[in-house]
Amino acid sequence: MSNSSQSHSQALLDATVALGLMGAAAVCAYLAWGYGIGDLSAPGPGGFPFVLSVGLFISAFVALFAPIRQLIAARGATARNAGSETEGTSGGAELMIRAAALVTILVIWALVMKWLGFAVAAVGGIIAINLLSGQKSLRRAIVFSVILTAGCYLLFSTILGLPL
Amino acid sequence: METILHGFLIASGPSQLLFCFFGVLLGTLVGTLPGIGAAATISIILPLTFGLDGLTAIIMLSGIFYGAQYGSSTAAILLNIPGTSTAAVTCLDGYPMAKKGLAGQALLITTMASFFGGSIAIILLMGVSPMLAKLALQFGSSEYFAVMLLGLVAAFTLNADNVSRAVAMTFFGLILGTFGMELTTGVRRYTFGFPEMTEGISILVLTMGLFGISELLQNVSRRDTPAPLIPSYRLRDMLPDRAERRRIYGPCLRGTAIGSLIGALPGAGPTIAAFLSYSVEQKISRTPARFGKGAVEGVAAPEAANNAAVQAAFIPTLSLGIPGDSVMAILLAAMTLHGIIPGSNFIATQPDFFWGLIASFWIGNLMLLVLNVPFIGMWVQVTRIPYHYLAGIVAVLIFLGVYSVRSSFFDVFLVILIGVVGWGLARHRYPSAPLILGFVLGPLIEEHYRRVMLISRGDLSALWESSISLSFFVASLLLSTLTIWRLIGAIKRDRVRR
Repeated sequence: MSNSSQSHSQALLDATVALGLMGAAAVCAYLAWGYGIGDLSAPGPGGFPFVLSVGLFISAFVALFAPIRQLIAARGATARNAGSETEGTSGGAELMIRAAALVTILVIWALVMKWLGFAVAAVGGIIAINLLSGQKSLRRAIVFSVILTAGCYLLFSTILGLPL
Repeated sequence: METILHGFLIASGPSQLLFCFFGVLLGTLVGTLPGIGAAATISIILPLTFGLDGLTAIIMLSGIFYGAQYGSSTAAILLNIPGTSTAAVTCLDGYPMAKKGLAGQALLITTMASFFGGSIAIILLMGVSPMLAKLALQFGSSEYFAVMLLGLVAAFTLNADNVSRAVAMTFFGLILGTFGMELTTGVRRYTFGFPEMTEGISILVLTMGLFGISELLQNVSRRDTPAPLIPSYRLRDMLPDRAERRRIYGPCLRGTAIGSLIGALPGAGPTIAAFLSYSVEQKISRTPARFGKGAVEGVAAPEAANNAAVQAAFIPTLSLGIPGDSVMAILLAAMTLHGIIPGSNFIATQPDFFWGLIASFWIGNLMLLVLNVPFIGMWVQVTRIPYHYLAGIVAVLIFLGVYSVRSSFFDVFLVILIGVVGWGLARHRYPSAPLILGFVLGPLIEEHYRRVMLISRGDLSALWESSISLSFFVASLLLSTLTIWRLIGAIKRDRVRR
């Protein structure tokens, strides 16, 4: 990906995050209004969160300026380099795929832990994270996972008395 | 004097010594390893301390905090890998010194400077905290509101590059702090229909998500290249010569002064102290061109500064109950979880805890001196541990740590969600520290604000009526004005450059 195109997509993502925060602030303000704002002499339960939501909305709006300026600046350059989009995108895409894979592993780990208990979930989860983080030998991943799970079980369940 | 001696007696108990050693050992370990910070480690280890008494737990957790500062310099000097953000400054001159064959001297200088900076700041902590606590006895709700506001303003104004983002994160943290049941009216705020949210978000879930899961996601694509083998060093080879010794006295003193001042300010932290002291040394040097090429001053000053800042950060936390940075916010939460409430009455009502903790800092710093100088070779070997093993350990400890707090699977899913959101925000340069500070201070600020408004019957000027609160408001206003001025200047310079 060319530099201008890269900064264009970065600015677009930055703007999306700022807009997301503004959206979250609007939802919080709406809910806070519902809790009751009260007045200065008797602040309601929604008064303080309402003021904070307005603050978040304004600061996220200010944070939106920089990516919008970048977007305007990068627009012309992106149009000129529109043909060279595919080059070099693999690094960012790989990171996103790995991050998505890690989140999936963590969610499945939590679900399995809920249904089948800690030991089964931890052995599977640690093996998967080990392999995802660069471990090449499955055997080593299994051995490490079993030892770590046993160690944690001993520490949390036997010594600290946590029901697992 | 009697009180500190009594503190030493308390801190010299077998379990206190043992857990102090564990803390500084673990701190040095995570400081040496890049990718796992002190904040994440303290959050992950915190549930394991529930079986300990409060003082022993905090001695251990504090040991992790200041131990990480010592450990981070080893990998920074020998491998040019900063284990913590503060060590990035040490890399600038430490690694060039190592390349010149002066690694031994650089390591000894950093250890000595760290010990010096830490020790002076502990003396300051011993002197200033009781005075500040005495002053804080005059504080009412308006004064607490004003000083907490100053802490939040300082937190985002010191993030000079991303002020609007830091402000947004502060507000975000403050809003997250309001989640759960409002104690005065019993109204459930932002629970989204989940009964588990009635108690709000646990600080542990928030910090483990923001620092633990977020760091796992950040490092998921990391591929380690094996660290080079480092020769072992004898103490005799590490001693700096007379000329070098003469050159480090001044930087150590100045670094300690800057670190102590910055550390004691709410909102500032050791990273700012390290960068500031480095730039001061460079500015006052007669030969600034040597900096970045292996100047001993460039190693000694930031190391003294960051260790002084770490110890001085305990001043506002212990005497006012107001954390200086995100790690202190986690430590404050840890104290609360152990039933210890720092504040103006803390030193008077719990002198054993206060002086025992201070004495443990001395003991911990001495342990670090012993751990760091003769075992440098061992710490270097630690950097060779492949990341895929660490990722598994971090993940399982986060899950178990979060689950252990309330035996709740809801918290396990929540920590994943917070981690993903935190990682997304960090990727777009939204800092986590103001969020944590906002989260911790939010409920307190609301409580004090509500109290002032109820007593004054809605008169806003009651917030700045007293001279103490007025001075805090003026300081907040000055800081904000200064930041806006700097921002306008930066925008103008940017336009001229274009």
